[in-house]
Amino acid sequence: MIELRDVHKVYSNGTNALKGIDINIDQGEFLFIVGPSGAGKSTFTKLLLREETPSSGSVMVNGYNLVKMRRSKIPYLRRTIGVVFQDFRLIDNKTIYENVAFAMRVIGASPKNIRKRVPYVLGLVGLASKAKSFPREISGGEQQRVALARALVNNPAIIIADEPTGNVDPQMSREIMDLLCEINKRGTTVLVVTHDHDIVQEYDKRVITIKDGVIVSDKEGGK
Amino acid sequence: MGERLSYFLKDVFKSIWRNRMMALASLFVLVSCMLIMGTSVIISFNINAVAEKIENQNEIVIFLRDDITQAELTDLERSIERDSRITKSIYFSKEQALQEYIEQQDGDEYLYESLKEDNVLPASFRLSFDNSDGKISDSVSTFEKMAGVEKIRFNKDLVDKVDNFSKIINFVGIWLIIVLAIVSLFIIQNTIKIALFTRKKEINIMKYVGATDSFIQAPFVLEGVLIGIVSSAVAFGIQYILYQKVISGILDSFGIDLISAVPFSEMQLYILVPFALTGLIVGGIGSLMSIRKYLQV
Ligand SMILES: Nc1ncnc2c1ncn2[C@@H]1O[C@H](COP(=O)(O)OP(=O)(O)OP(=O)(O)O)[C@@H](O)[C@H]1O
Ligand SMILES: [Mg+2]
Repeated sequence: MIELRDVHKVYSNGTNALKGIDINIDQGEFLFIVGPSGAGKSTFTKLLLREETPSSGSVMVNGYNLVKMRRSKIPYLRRTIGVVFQDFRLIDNKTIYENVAFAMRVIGASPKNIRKRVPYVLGLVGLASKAKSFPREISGGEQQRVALARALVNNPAIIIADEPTGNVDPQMSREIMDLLCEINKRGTTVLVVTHDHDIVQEYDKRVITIKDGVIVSDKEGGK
Repeated sequence: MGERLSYFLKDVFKSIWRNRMMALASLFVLVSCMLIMGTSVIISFNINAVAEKIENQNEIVIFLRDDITQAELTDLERSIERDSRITKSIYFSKEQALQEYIEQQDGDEYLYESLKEDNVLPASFRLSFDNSDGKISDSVSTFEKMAGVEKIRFNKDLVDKVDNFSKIINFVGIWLIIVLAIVSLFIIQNTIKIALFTRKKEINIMKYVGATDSFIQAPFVLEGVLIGIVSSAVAFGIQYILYQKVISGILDSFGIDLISAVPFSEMQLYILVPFALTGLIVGGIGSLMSIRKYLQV
């Protein structure tokens, strides 16, 4: 479902961010991507979202060939991927419910489906009671869960989370990781980019380590 | 569909409201630009009307010398008859000219007595030309050379002057419209840019969850178009009032029939259509131009 072959990425300013990446990720996998700052982790996730295009090599995601893909098809690729950002990116003047519903509305979902799906997803992340609150009225961990609910609401095949635990305390981190595991158990592929070694140690999953744009290790089990 | 549409419209109005100072400013600038456009249309219409009126008065007057001989007079009469473009020719004797003059002046009898004794008014031929053929200057120069002709009075100079003037007005008007359309475009573009900026995060999220470009663009384009359309309606209303109250008043105050103002109803289409087109195109293209950058995520 995700397949990268000999992918290189050189940014227009000459930075060589990825130098020959080969990855195969199957449907339903859970994996961590770790590595020092500037290693190319975010560049990798940007390639999957077609935010950037590879300088050479091939990228396949959910059946889309991202190299040959037309610009007008990008939205449809992105509907198969849910993204969770480190900074949550919630809309301040919309309630929690509206923030999640927004993601459905902008891809043209029917109001009936929205009314059914949003409460369900909010229940899944344990925020049913906060539906009417605004982002500033809830904690960082709760905000991160709203971001997760928004990523999930369109039922994507893959969830990509770049530093999902970067802005919350260890207790919250564990809650969010547990949620991601729960989502993964339901069949969604989960890809977590993180610096948090404790988390990687604790959750026994596949771990890919990138250094200087190269994969230096790819092993099952974080221990 | 109804619910989705109402969400969409609510979003648009919310965005305009949130951005109301800028929307108002661009409305103001757009209306001003349109008023300048409309005024140049109105001026051009009125100048052209004046030019047409003068041109339609295809009349010349040939004043005769007091010492014209009978032979010269017959000669002149024949030439007039031969000129096929002359539709009407009236001979006015010195006495008739005096009579007419007195009738026009109605005043001091005493003055006329002295005029009667020594009639300085010349005899003349008054000629009317075919309207369809504007060039009467050839005939004028033929008659001018003939014996017994004192001088010829005709409106050519005035026609040429008005013609040149209306050409200048039309030329300036067109450039003014182009320049002002570009200015309006710039203004709308900036307004939408600010509207976009305040919703940068929303657009970014939309891109990530897979909203199509047209879905993201639609409310901003509508916002631009709406500002443009409202501006054109406001400008049209103001233009109407302005014309009825001010311009037509000024023109009428000249009192002369020649410069009576063209009625607004005759020009309204030529004002409304450019206004509406400017509003639509400037609003639509301006917003599309400013949003393009934001879609490159
Ligand atoms: N848009 C860009 N233009 C030019 N260079 C870039 C761009 N984005 C990233 N880079 C460079 O590419 C390299 C990899 O960056 P990337 O963001 O992928 O690192 P990362 O592994 O996500 O780091 P971090 O852990 O700090 O988030 C870095 O040297 C970075 O400076
Ligand atoms: Mg990064």
